[in-house]
Amino acid sequence: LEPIAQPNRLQPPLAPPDTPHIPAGMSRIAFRAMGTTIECMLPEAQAQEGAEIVRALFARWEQTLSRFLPESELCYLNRHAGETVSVSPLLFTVVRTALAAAYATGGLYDPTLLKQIIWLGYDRTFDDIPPLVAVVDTPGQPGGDWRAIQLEQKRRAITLPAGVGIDVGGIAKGMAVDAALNALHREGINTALVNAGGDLAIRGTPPTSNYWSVAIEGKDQSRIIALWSGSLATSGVGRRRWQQGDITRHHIIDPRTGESAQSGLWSVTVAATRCRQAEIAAKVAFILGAKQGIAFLQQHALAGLLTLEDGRGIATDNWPAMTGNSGRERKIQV
Amino acid sequence: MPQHDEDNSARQPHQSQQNQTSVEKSISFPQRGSPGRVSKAETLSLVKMLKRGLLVASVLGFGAMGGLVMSHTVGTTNQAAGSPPVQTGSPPTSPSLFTPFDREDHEEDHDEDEEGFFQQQGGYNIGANRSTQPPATTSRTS
Repeated sequence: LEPIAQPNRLQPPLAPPDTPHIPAGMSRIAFRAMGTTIECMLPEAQAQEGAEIVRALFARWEQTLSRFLPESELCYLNRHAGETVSVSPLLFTVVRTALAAAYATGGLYDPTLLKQIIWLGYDRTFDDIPPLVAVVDTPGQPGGDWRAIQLEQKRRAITLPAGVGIDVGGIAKGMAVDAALNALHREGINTALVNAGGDLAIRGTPPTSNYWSVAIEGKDQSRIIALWSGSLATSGVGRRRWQQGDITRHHIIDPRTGESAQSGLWSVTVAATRCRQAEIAAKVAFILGAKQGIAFLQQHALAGLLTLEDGRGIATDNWPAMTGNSGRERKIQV
Repeated sequence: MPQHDEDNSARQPHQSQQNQTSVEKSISFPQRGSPGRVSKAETLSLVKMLKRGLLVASVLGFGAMGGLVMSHTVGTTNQAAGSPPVQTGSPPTSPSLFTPFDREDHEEDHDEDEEGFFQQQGGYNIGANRSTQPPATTSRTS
């Protein structure tokens, strides 16, 4: 990995990321859902109406798709693995999209790693995981069970292979962000930003600016870019990690091993048209590591920034120069 | 047989209509040697004109397709914030094609199965933020 010096990129951070700047004419609303903080920026005149739309949507999605709510439809489906289950349009669409993503990534994104992540200790909401979880004497088991899932479009039915459970947490969050923007648009709200714990998408731009200024959380400090349209998602080990015995675990599972991915990366941020695409691409690039991750993103015409464990950044050719960086970005030839 | 008669009677009006139509048609077309007959030279001229028209339409169609391909840009802008963004991914789609936005939130994803999960329909635009505007939000590690 040969670094390419880019000294002209060195500029100080403009603002700490925890103090968001609300553009003039916009309102900020934040609430908890799907295990994270949902943040919306909406035009002042439509803020209340828009917030209700987004809040209701996320509540419905969580109620249907959470693996932590025993009464959710997803849990019902998982409990009935081996049987054919008729499901709601929402669950069917999310599972179908998850399978499309698995297919598009050659299985590097795998929605059927539920038992693996439970073995690793992520068996409850992240907030409830103790600092040290018990070691389970189960060897890592590779994924790939998604290939045996059967979907029946006409009956809207899903058949999971016996013993297989699905977890659509990440992709569902990205899809919910996309769906929220669409729902706002249907109600005539054409300027909005929706951010679900790092998976964010925009529609339109604030009245006083022709772009959204977005900070990207790195290991040491944030980088800032301008977003005119589309979405951004960041996957990494900065937050969802825990200790299992002597081993530090995190939530990004490599389906080739069934263990937390060890790729030498701290995080990956991807820009894409849709938030679900950015979410999945960030996860897959993280699993692949620096060189293959960059190649994967460029193959799909996606822009990405990969932060190494030592804090340095590697970007795709189409990633923009940023302010607030440490001057340690480099491009990689693939 | 009565049934046969009934069938015949049922066909009668239809047949007579057909005859009438053929008479009308024969009236509408000029008879051999009449002043309205198109000569061989005129026919050839007409064919030539049609060929030329076809050629012009082909060239125009090819040009239009070429233009569309040329305007298809892939990549990301590295422009300073505030300057006009350059579209990435597919060229912008006309508003009438944005049917996904008109559907319910759970019925919007049929295109992904058909066209590939990572298809960048509509594209995305990111760029350098060289202004002094602080960030409105943060993409945190999820």
